[in-house]
Amino acid sequence: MSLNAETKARSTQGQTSFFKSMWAIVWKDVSAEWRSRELFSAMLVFALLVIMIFNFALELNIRERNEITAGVLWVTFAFAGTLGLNRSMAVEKDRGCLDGLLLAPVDRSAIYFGKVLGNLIFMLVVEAIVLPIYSILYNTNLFQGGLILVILLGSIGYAVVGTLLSSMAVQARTRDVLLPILLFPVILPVLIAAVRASSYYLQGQPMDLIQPSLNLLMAYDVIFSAVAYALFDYVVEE
Amino acid sequence: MEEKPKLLSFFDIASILLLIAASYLTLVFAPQEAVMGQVQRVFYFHVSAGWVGMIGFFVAVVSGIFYLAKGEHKWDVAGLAGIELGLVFFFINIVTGSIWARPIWNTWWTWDPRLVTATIVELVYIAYLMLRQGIEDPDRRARFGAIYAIVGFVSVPMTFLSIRIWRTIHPVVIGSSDPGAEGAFEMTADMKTAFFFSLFTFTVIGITLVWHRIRLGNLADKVEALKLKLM
Amino acid sequence: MLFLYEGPVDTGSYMILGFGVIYGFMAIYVWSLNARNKKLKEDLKMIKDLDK
Repeated sequence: MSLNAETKARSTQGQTSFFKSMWAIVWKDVSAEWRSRELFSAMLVFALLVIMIFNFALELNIRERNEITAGVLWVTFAFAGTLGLNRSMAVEKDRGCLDGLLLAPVDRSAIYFGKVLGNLIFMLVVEAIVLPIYSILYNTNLFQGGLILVILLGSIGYAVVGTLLSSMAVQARTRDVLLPILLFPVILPVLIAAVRASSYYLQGQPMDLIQPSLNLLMAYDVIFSAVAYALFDYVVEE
Repeated sequence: MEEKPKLLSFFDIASILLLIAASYLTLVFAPQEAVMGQVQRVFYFHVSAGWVGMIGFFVAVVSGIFYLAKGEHKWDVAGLAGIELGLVFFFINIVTGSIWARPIWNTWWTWDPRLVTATIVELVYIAYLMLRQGIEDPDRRARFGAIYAIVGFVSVPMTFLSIRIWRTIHPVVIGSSDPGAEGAFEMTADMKTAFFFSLFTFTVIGITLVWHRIRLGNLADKVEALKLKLM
Repeated sequence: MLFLYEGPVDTGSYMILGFGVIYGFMAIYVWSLNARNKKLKEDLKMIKDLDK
């Protein structure tokens, strides 16, 4: 009886330490970023610039603009996201933090999910700022529940795969160029489904049109969380 | 690893003979299609090339998994060989798809889910090669290659599905009501013979080429190792 | 749909182009394998000669 209680206590301890380590990493990234705000401001400025460029490059009237809002948003998020991923990993590598983390008696997956969560938070914060600005600039109300859901699901998929790939890309010579090249072919299901679902939500289309895209997004998130979780160990094993 | 195994020589000869036979079947034996004319004959090898491309991807992924599990270098050689095979044959698939589309639908490119997916797979292959190129350490290069091959492989079916969903709303082919049936035509029995024989032929060719590529990879490693010893 | 009246379209030149691409790129790949193989064999021979 006491042996059972002991193993149970130890396993809950193991669980707590997993989440503890994960949160520690998230906290480290977020608080470091909060102090310097370099990454965040870079992503934000970049996102705004992209929106500006789209405005001038595409020269749309109001009606056409509504049709492509979803596309413009997601392209913006995808490119700003790449920036965030790159920088987040590069900082780790250059300051030797990653090696330090790996030496610590911490579950590798906790490191991975910690990084993912950190990257996700950065993305979501940038998106939360871009949305109202876009709404104002283009006089469309983007604050609809459905759209928020799609952005959340899409960002999760993006962060999960992006973190895994950036942890590899950062170790290559061509690190900055390599991440988008690796990421974009593989993240396409997210982009395509997210744009489709976002567009439909904004146009007020019926749920049965939107559902397949949402399902795909959720499936992608679940499948790749599992795959990346399994593979991350192999990225950092030495 | 110097002696060329007899089985491989057999495969070499078989590949050439089968290709000649398949060419006869597709160019002469199969009847001309009623609407599309002669260019339809490209279809048999077009699909077969795509099939070999997928085989290459499959080889790369399985090799990747085995490399991660066992760490034996031979799996990395096989993985690279698979990707290279896929690269060449998907390229053939894409270009012939484009050539087929041109006289039929008067466009060099159709946003057909299969064609687009093939292009994306090609991009995954290129990304794989660029990833490998950027990494010095051979073990890390092999590991990262394996990881990316697996990630790529898992994403491709989902990409295909997402494009299919997208396409049901954006039919691009003029005059085609069924978006999934682009380029569909009825296959007669003779055509089916040509088709399946082509698939078989290209499978044999694929196996032969990947085998040669693996041998090449092993030879390259051997030379590399000897060079290091000399220095 | 013009061709319903005139019979199949003459797409022969595209067919030739298509098969040219197929045979051509397969041949290029085989040639590439061969060329790389030859170069490696030369390197091997050179190393073995240096070793002596």
